[in-house]
Amino acid sequence: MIRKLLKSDWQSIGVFFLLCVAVGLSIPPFRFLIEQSMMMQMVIQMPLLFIGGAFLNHFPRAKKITQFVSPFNTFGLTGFMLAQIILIYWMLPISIDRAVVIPIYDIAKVISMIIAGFWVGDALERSPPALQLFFIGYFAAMMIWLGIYFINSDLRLCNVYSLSSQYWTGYCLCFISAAIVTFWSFLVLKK
Amino acid sequence: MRNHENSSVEIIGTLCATLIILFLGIWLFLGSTLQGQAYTTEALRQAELNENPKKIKSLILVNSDQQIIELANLSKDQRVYIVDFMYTRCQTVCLSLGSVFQNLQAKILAQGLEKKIGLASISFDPKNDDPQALQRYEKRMQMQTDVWRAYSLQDANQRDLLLNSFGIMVIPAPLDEFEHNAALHLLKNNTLYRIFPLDDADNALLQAVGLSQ
Repeated sequence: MIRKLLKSDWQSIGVFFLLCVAVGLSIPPFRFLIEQSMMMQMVIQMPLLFIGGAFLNHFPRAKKITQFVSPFNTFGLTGFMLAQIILIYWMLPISIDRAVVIPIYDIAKVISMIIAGFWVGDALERSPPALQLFFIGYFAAMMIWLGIYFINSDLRLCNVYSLSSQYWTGYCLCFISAAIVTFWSFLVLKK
Repeated sequence: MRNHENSSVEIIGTLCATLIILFLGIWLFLGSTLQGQAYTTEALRQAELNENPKKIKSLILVNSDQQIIELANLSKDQRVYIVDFMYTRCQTVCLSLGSVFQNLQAKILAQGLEKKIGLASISFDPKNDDPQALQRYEKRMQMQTDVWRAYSLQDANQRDLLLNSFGIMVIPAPLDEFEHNAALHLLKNNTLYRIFPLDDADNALLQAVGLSQ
């Protein structure tokens, strides 16, 4: 489904650039951005890594990997499950703190978010809409809940971020959930 | 027919793979949240102490009378200290922290616990908080100095040691302020026993009384 959006080499360059930006946010000259703002990490960096991962699917070598494991990935179920677990893990406030404070967690975050995007990109091509609805709907509902919790909570959930940063991230998470559902509905209806 | 067999084998393989990933995920979850007890760093800090109290490194403090006191000697008088962290310029969370401590002070005096329990506010901004600043803070907070005192670090280089040994994270906020994880720390004989959230002050006092016996 996503592969159709990519038509030329220019678009592969675009994917490469996108991933460079996302990974670059974890590396010193720009790292202060994700250290200061929860939005930079949860609203900009993590989704970029995920989207970059999803588009990586387009490359022929990636196709070989997905073909190889396809016997264990009927309808993309395994891929969806793996991505779901990775995404939920990085929603936990304790994981977000660790990604900022402990470098090895940050590396794990970058790699695992790309992997999650990669397998969701693959799963979207294998799965029937009902299965997609289950995973995407569930994920969106969870993220809206988290967003509302971030907006309403007087507690700082992440020790590394300020309360106001948490508040605005909450709104953005709700917005992203709505955008995901809209985009997905668009892709399904277009078929 | 062959096709059908293939697909059912594939479905079983997929289900097994999905289940393995699911169990690995649950294991990862439980492992990283202290068996589901702590979803935030703050909760982890509190839950870890419940299992093993933590010795605090030696820190040199100074009070508003310019007396130099080692943290280890702070509770030499056998009192249990309820400790919080602040900086005297603070206008935001420290004010609510201050009122929590004022209530605690009133309760300690009302119940005659001042020989058993002390209150200590330790500044993590030793560059700005000298003994004069501490004195102004003590006045502003109406501290009864036999119950509640403000301290600062004698050596500003010990700031990181102070923050790390208690697990406090300080981040800069607008208007030259700080934000930090404010909580009530129960300290006795240089050992950190428990940490309570600010809205659980009554419980903290109760536990402090228990600890002092």
